[in-house]
Amino acid sequence: MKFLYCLLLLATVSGCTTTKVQNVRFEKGQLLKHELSEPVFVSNEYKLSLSDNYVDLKKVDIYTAKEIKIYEKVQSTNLKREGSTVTDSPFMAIIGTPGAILADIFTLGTVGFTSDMWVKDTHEWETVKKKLEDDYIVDERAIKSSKVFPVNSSSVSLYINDKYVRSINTDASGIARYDFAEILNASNTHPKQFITDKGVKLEARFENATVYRTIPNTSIPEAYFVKQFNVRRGELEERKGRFENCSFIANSKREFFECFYQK
Amino acid sequence: MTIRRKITLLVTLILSFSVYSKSDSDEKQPLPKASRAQISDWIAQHAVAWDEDKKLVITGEDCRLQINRDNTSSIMNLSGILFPVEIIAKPNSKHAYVRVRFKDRYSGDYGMQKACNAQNDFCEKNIGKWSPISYFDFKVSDVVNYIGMDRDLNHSKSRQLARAITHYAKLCNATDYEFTF
Repeated sequence: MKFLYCLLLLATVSGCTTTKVQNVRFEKGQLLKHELSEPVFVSNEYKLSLSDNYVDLKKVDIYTAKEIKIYEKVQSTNLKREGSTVTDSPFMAIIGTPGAILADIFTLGTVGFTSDMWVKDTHEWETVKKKLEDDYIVDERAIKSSKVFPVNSSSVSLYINDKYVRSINTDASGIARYDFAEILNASNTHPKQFITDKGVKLEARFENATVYRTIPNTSIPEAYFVKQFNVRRGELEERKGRFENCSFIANSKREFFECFYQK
Repeated sequence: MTIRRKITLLVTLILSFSVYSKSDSDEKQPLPKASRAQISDWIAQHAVAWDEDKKLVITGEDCRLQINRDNTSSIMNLSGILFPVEIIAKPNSKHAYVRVRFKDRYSGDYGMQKACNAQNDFCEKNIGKWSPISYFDFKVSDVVNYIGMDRDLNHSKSRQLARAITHYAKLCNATDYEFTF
């Protein structure tokens, strides 16, 4: 009988009567391992950029590296302090495995792997990760990187307001030059569109890469309007009065077209 | 008197008569009408002088007049005038107005106007939309009511301006038609 009392007392003192252990939370302890894999090529893509008078074509190779940090897993002290449902029994405390032992597992044990494997064999890594997560906290982070190369001797297509105009070739540094006024003239689009539609959309395309800029009326080169004025003079002079009035008011051919086509 | 002297006298008489008749015919001829440039200047000067509003600047050449006020800038093309140039009165106004109407009134082919505001530095910058106008009124300021007055200085001013504009328009080949009713 005395023995039974002793057993009951021991159980009470040790606190192992508490059962709500499902809410146990863990936090990061000591950093046990930190690995960074070599970057692995994932894919490539083309990138276009558009400046006032040239298009820049680049090939971008994309790489991914994996950074893994393994921490010891310790029971959250916050939870204890807040008097939550977690047991305070010393028998139930989970103690992190010392780093030295873990290091051995990585280098010599059955779950040993190289950093390359982490990326190359995702399945393998996932298995390893699952096992590790039972005893440790695993932080995994993908680090993306890229390398950029100019693409030479390639043909980039130019579009004005979604209509193909012409192609231009890139030089050794991946740059293809163009004259915007000339492209606009070649598009044979009526200047009134640019005046009334608030600018012109210039787009460059190469394979899946596209880039466009909307150029406002005020940035359209005067050379274009001069050329169009001469080309369309007959048509413009059909409205003689307006032609004369706008010629009188305007300080440039752009202003002339603005006046002529604004109602 | 020798025959030679007689002939000389005759020639002198004929010559002096022809000179006299020429100067006589000169006096009878009406004064030459003002040229385009002259009439343009006349209109610009008189229209500004006779309008006592704060700001009015008229510039022009070659059949066009640009009229700038504080809040509007207008341009008219004299070749597109619809005759006659009218003189009108407006309700509650003591001034006379010389109204110039334009052909193709909705196209803005002959008359256009735009607002002068802060956005375009009151038309200092050439920004803004020109809209068609169907007519333009030149104001001829008066000190007494124009309405109801028939022949006075004010009327003669506006009539002179209307005649000048008509003359300018005709020099610019604004067409009018002869009708037989």
